[in-house]
Amino acid sequence: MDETADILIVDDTAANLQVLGLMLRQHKYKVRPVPSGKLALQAVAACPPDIILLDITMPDMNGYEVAAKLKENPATAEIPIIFISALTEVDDKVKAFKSGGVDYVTKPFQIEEVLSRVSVHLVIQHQRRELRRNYERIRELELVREKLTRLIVHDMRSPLGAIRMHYEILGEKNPSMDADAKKSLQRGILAADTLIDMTNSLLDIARLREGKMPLNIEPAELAAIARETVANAAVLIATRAVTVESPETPVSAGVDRSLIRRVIQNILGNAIKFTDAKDGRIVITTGLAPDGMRVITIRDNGPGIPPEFRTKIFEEFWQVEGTQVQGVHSTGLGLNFCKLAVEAHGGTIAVREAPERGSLFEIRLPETPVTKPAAA
Amino acid sequence: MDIPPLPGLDLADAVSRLGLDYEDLRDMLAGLPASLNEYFAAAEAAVGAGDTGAVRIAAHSISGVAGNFGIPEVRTAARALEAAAKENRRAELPALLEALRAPLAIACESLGRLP
Repeated sequence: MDETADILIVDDTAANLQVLGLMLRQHKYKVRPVPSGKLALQAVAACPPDIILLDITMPDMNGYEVAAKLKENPATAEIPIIFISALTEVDDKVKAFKSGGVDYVTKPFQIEEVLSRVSVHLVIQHQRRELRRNYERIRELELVREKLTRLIVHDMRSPLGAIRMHYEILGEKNPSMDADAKKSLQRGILAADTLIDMTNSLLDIARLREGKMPLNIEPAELAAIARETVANAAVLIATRAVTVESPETPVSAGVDRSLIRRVIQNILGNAIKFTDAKDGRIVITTGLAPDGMRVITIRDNGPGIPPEFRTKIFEEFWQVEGTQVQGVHSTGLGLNFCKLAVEAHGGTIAVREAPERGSLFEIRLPETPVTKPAAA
Repeated sequence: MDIPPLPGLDLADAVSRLGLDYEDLRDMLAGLPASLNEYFAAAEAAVGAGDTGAVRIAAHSISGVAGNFGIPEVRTAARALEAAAKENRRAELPALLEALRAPLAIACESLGRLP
């Protein structure tokens, strides 16, 4: 396809170099012949070719060594190398592929074979470059989209706060409004709260993903944090009539209290929402794993999460279809936030089936946080 | 121009395999005796020195050139020498070198008479 492609041919035998060069030039390829491995490396450094035809048996530096050097360097690693050799044993060919070759042409040369193999690998190389360009373009667009989204989400916070505040003022100024109006107002406030939560989660997730969320690490006792979180959820717990057992075992760790509280709050909130209100039971435990990791578990006896969704639920905006509970709002951001917050501490979060029924979330945290580099 | 039949050479095969005209190849063919004799001299010195690595490289060069340019007997003899050097069959090297000398001389003589 690309008949002006630049081909570097490397062979220590002048006559072979000459004849191969002539064969390729007659098919309109641009050919650079070099007679040694060292000169090949210099030629590639000076101007990377589209493809290299590389002899194996050469004095000083053989073809395998040349290929290995080129593969070491990210700038030259993707240049396709076709080995050309009179070595015909399978071992030689396998070694050529293992050292980074994409193909192998045996001497004596057959014009049709040489041209076919060169052409195929030039097409692949062209497509790989195209793919990379498209990927980079998509990545750029994705970054622009993320920035715009964050900007919009950030700017939504003030009007949402204002809407909520005005609903409250409306309620306070009209104490005599009828029950239906009060209910509507209350629903409006709840909807505003949900949107405010969503915007906060989106901004936090973006900051966590980029490693830009400052962690306020301090010595903390995890069971105490869990108990505080349960106490804060008392109203929600009362509406569902589920029982929640708080942990007793004190476990110390260096954590950002606010983030870990929100992690527990998210998982606990889901457990409360999705567990049957009649005989719902949620148990939170804390402990020390044999490897020294601090472990918090939150177990419920709800419907559980199918095995195929147990990794996906931690992805952004992901929700198990068919699990939406009437009157229970879910943004699909909570567990993604939990994963990123735990990982920012150098920990892990996972879910598995609880021993009898339901889900068991396990949060593992190091004694002191391991700094996690910002994602690329 | 018709491709001339010359002892030790199969130029018709080379021309068709390489996709080149005889005229394109002629200058290259004319230069082959010098390089083939140079590789042979290197092989001879390496056999004398017992350096199987150097024998292998020299024989490999002869076999590669002979294969590409249609010099079948030289290619066969050079491949036998290369294989013996690779497998370290030192005792066989002098005889295999001698077995290469005659077809090489015939081919070089023919290459010197190209029209």
